[in-house]
Amino acid sequence: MAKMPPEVIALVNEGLGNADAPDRPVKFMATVSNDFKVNNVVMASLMANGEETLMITDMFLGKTKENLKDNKQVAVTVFKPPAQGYQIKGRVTEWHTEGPVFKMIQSMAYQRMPTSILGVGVITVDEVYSLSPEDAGKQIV
Amino acid sequence: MAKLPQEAVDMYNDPEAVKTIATVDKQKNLNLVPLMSAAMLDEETVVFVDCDLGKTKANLESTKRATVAVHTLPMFGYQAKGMFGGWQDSGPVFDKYATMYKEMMAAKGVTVTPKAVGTLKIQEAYSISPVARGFKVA
Repeated sequence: MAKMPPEVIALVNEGLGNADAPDRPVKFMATVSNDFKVNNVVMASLMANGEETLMITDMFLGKTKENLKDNKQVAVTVFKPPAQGYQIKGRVTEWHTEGPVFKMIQSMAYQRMPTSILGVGVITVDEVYSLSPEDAGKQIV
Repeated sequence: MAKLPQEAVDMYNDPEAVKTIATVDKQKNLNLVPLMSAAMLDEETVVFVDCDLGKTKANLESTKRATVAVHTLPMFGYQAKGMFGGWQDSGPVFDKYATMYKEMMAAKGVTVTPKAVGTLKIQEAYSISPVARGFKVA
């Protein structure tokens, strides 16, 4: 487990709930299947939950969810063009389909879009890397 | 190989669209980084520039698998899954895309030094837009 520095948390949570903001960071998440097929999708719902975990919302995740059944490892990139960003590597360690965490995220999601969510994934952060050109690939934690 | 529809080709060729490349090593450790140099060499092939790709480069050479995603605001995008086609560090393809990327980044105040260009032969592609998420387009 690793602790994300404040500037990483701030970028992950920047623009949450405002998908139309032109300068918000873009968030992607990659998963992999047993036969090494990599899935790489936009994960607008990604948010930091404290220093050591991230949360994602399942709104028809499809292959991402399928891959997570076999391989819990994920890589997440939060990138704000032209050159600010971080890559966060971790594992999905919890999946909530009911209870207080689910209800809290359902409530937050509903404020943005009147829809139901299917689940909430919790990612435990293991490593964080810079994506800025001056120190691209440098491990921060 | 699979051919991308024209609207996807146009999106990959849009210098303002955000693009990322996800790769994996033999232990299934993932790597996911921005790849703003990505463009379409033709409708079946993504081309991208190696400035300092690090783990991405090692993974491409090891497992050959990669997926390049593209996203434009508010919430449109595609992911193209394919096999690494190798590096070129000279010749017309290198000259064209290395120059294009250098100029694109210089306009944003970022200096880059291209070492090679790589290609990804597309095998399948999907929409990642919310309204058509997971829909196979190629």
